Amino acid sequence: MTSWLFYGFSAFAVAFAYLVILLRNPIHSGLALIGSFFCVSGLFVLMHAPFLGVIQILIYTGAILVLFLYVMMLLNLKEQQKEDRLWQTVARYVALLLIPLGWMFSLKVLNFQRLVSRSLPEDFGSVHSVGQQLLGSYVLIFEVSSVVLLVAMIGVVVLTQKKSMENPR
Amino acid sequence: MIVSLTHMMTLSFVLFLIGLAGIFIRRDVLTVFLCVEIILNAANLAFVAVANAFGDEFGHVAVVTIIAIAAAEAAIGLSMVIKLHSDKKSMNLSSLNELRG
Repeated sequence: MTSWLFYGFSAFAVAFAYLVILLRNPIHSGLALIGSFFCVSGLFVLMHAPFLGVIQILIYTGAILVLFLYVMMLLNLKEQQKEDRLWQTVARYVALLLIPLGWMFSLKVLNFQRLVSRSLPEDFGSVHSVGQQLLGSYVLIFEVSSVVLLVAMIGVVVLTQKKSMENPR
Repeated sequence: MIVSLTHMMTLSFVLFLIGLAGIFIRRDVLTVFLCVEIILNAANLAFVAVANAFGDEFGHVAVVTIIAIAAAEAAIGLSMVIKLHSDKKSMNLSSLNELRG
């Protein structure tokens, strides 16, 4: 049962990711990426990380990707895509061929089967346990990411303000 | 049955390759940002898989951090996209040629 869920989620995650890079309209790409993230969130839950599964849907999909979709709708993209040059078309199909080749290569080379033998504690990956780690041993990482978010916020405010005084257009 | 680490690393690698291919074949700023998100997600998947296999919760902490950094990157990137749209009226990466790249 679990392995069927795993294969289903993986197949849909890869299929939606393909759609992201193949669809022409950026809004359609964004919607496909939301589908892919939902599948990856299901995989997180299968891998004993229920907290991260919820975080993935609430924050990644619900905040970050919705922000992307808002910007796409705000910009109201109408213009036609420029026609690709020949080498770009060739590069596109070579890149798409590389993906199944990479898949086979990694199945041949990566072999971690023997490493997976540990039985996990009962509350592995729960909110309590991850929170203990996040505010205990790894509190420095937690604080630094809050500083990163603050810097990003200031940067966005500086980037988007109109420079009417110093640089009149 | 617990999903094996080989399968998860393979899936993560494939998602990474799809994101990388997307960065190279698309000329559209917003889609390139979406491909960066795919790559970050592949990294998240690898972290969770290794955390699951070794029973170490550092992977979960790393994923939370990556999500925070992805939020910062999305905010800054999107504000640059808005700037680009108001300055150039184009979403094409080929129109960014001031540095002769």
